[in-house]
Amino acid sequence: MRLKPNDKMTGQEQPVLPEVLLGHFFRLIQAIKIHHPNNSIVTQSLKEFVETLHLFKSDESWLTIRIMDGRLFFQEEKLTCRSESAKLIANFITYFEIKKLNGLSLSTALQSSQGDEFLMFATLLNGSENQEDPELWLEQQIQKMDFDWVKILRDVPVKQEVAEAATSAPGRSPAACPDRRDGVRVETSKNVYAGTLTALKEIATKVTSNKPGGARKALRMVQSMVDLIMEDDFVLLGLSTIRDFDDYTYVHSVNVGILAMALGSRIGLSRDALEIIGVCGLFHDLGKTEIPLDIVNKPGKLTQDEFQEVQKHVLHGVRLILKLRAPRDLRSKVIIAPYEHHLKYDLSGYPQTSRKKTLSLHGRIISIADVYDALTSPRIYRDSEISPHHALEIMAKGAGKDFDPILLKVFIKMMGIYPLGTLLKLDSGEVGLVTESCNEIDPLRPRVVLLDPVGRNQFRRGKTVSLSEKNGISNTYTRTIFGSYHPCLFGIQPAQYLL
Amino acid sequence: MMLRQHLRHVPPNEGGKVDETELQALKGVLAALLAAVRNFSLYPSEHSICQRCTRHLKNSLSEFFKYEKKLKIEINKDGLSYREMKLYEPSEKNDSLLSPLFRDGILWIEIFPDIELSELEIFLKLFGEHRSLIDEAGSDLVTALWKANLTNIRYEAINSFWENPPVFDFGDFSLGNEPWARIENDQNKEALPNGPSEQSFPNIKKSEGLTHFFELTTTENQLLSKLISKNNQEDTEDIIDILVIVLDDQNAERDFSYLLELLEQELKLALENTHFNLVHTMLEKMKPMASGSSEPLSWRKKLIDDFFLKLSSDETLKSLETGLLKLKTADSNQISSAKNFMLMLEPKAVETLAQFLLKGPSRTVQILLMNAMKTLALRNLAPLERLLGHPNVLLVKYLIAILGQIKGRHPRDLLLRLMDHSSEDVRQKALLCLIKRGELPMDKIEAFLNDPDPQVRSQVFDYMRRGKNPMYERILRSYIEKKKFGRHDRAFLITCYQALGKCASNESLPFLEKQLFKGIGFPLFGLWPSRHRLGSAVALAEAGSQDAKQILSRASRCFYPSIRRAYKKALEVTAISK
Repeated sequence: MRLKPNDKMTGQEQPVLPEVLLGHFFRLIQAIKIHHPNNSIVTQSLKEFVETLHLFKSDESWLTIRIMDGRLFFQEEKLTCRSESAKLIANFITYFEIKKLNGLSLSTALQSSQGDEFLMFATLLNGSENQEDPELWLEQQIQKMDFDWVKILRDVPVKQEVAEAATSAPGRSPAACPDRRDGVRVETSKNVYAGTLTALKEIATKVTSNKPGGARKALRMVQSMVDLIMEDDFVLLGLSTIRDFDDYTYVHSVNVGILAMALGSRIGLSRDALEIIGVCGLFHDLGKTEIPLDIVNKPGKLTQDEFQEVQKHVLHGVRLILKLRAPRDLRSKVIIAPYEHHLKYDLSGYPQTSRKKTLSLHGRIISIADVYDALTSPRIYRDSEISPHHALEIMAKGAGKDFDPILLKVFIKMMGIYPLGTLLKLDSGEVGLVTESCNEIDPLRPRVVLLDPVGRNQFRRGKTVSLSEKNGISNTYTRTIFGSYHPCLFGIQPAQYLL
Repeated sequence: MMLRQHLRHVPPNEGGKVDETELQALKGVLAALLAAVRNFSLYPSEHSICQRCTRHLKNSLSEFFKYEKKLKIEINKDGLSYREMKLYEPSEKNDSLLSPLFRDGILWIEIFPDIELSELEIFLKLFGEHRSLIDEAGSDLVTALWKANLTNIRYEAINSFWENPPVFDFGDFSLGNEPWARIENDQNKEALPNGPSEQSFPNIKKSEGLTHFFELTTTENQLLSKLISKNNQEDTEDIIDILVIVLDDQNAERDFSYLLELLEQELKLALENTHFNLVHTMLEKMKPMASGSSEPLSWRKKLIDDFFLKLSSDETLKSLETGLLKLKTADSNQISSAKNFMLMLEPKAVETLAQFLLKGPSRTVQILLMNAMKTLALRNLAPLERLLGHPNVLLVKYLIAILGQIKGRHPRDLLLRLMDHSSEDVRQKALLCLIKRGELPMDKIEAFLNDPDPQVRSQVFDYMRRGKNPMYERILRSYIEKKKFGRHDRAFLITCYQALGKCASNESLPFLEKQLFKGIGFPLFGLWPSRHRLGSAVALAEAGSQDAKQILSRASRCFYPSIRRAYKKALEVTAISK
């Protein structure tokens, strides 16, 4: 079978390239157990294996196969056990587990002329189970033979338990802690955030290299976020204050997903609808991966042509979402909001097409979340950073024209006049970071954590105070807001102080 | 037997945790679960075996819940455990119970006593559906269980996707190159976006207070509810709209082709849900994509043409059939849209549409289908022609009705060909069609008159006696003269004469007179069959001309009783037929 790495893989009928490679590899090591190296079965298996290995050459220099906790990982990603490949994967896992081997790395530069070396290695691999320490023994043999195209993998260098505990599905756990800043909850949320970001980056990498990206990981992460948000959106809203100048699009997309889900939750959307809206947020800017980076990262104003190019990301995005490996109904449902996210409430904006319909609920929500996060993110083309508070002011002026006025109202109420993570300069000369924005009695006086300067642009977390506190004697407010700033002006990631 | 293989025997009260009766109940649950999982992977969930398995599992659980308030099963790569006791160890790697649970990272599953039969059924169904996975696709057992949101089944899952699960680290996020430097150098930093901000939100009235301002009014709440309920409705139209827009934007053949595939899926769904108008509009929008394609995009035309060809495939038309069964017969817009869609099909679709007719659709759908088939047959008669050899007589009769409405020599020839059909019903229907069209060929009439089916013959007569016609007159006369009618053919012969009388001119009077008075003066007068005498009298009575009446008058006064009898009888027959 001849496959290229970019081959379109649809459905169950076609094997994916890693499976093909592993299949050839497994056949080869089995064949060499019973046949002479010159036997045609061996030579044919070797030829197919090397040919398949070379298909990876343009993308990867080394291929890693690791067995961990009964699962097979290929290039650090779990290889999904499809019905067609289940037996092969199970055999592979058993083969490595019997030999107590963690895995190996193979160079894609292995030449056909090195076939004899590979057969030698396969024989060693087969024989390693008789050794006391197969890993060590194999390593020594490889060194002795001077095989520079293979490496034996040692133990996994991660704190697996911590990571696993932190990424479990929290909404299902019976012992959910009511404390908003509960450590486990915060850790879980952080790791779900990281997992979502990674899943999104993986998808983006795949779609940009024209490979089919699957939505399963992203879906799992979004479902975890829905559970967290439905329980209490505080931690994830705190995490949505994270800004990343270098990886703007991905962090922005995760934040938009969180903000959109939180808004959806406030207006009482079902968990299924929140799931859809979360996926919409995550994928709404996927089309940007197809816009030249020099335009995306251009400092200053875009030319007319460049702006037209940027506008194309909407339709590109819809196409890329449609190309994801995901159930049909999910794919279909999540194209509407990404298509509409640059259309304004009055239908101005882009793309301007023959379709003249009022925006969908999901489109309206994503549009609000998108603009808020974009305004409050440091961008290379902007001279000054806009504080979250100021961003809401700007957005409020577009109510009824740019944004659905009702949803915007709910959004501002959710975020608070001074949203979580806004940096406030106080008349006392202190600097405070908003930790709880929704003061029901006086929304203009949130709770803040005071930041004590400990050096140039370095702060220590101080005490948390409410700005509605009054001086007992004079009955005047102890602290009043003097100005609001974007925290990144002080090099602050608010989430670091909030959670 | 199976259970014994999988259950590691644990002595009662080992570790003081599980006593013997509880263990037996637990074994019962596991056996029922294994059987259910196996059967749900073999049969659809509504199958009686699956239903029985679900009930059995429910009963086993009820038995277990006599001892415990919940059942928590832990999952690891080697098997299932209950309270640290190994409960189940599969004998093979790809075990149908353990594999999907472990593969998708489920750590434990908890089942509670209030579990409903329906919940168990959903759980087992999902298990069956996600037994094997499509690589990277969007759903696995965990995501499916999440969606199902079962009240009495809880679980915890880890993400087992990555070799090194992503760990959150603030250091991974950068705020750029010391952005704060800008504020340090800013002389006017005190004037940056400033303080207490009722004024900043222009719509806020001081008196109202901010808290109230952000509360939704009753009207706003109503509008929002409306928006949410609209959001819950089907969005096929939006999806198709967007798909077509994105499709038109594609300049790469591969993407264009892929999107067409998706559109096809959506189209089928829309047809199944009776969105005929939507489908029709979509197809109308797609047409210009083919015609407007310039040279570099010339492949578009071929792909669009292929797409339109695919509309007529059995698969697409199956969706149409589902939709037609749901069609509201009182909804004229829906009917007209369905027709418009069908008119966009290829003529070959007639073959599939014809099958729908046999499934007993409503009269409205029947007419709709036949009209569409007629229009398609007008473009190319060959597919309909192929169907004429179909063994189902009812279908052939439907086709005849369609053929009857299509003008031209070829449809007429086909109808004529059907006059040789083995079914009397078919021949009759074809003949009727030919008659209606006024295209009964002279040279075939005699053959029709010999048709074994009296109905067919009777139709021919009906046709021939519509008025005076010298051609028919000659044919009938010659037929009566040549044909040997037996005693049993009396009624038929009378009908022949009757028809002759209707279409005859005075040219036939000598013949009829001869037939009526035949044998007078001959000794064997009485041997001349009375049926001919009667027939000719009937013909003369039907002819109604003065000359004919004179002949009949002579007959009424004739010396021979048999001739007078014939006269009288003829008057009766004619009166009855009138």
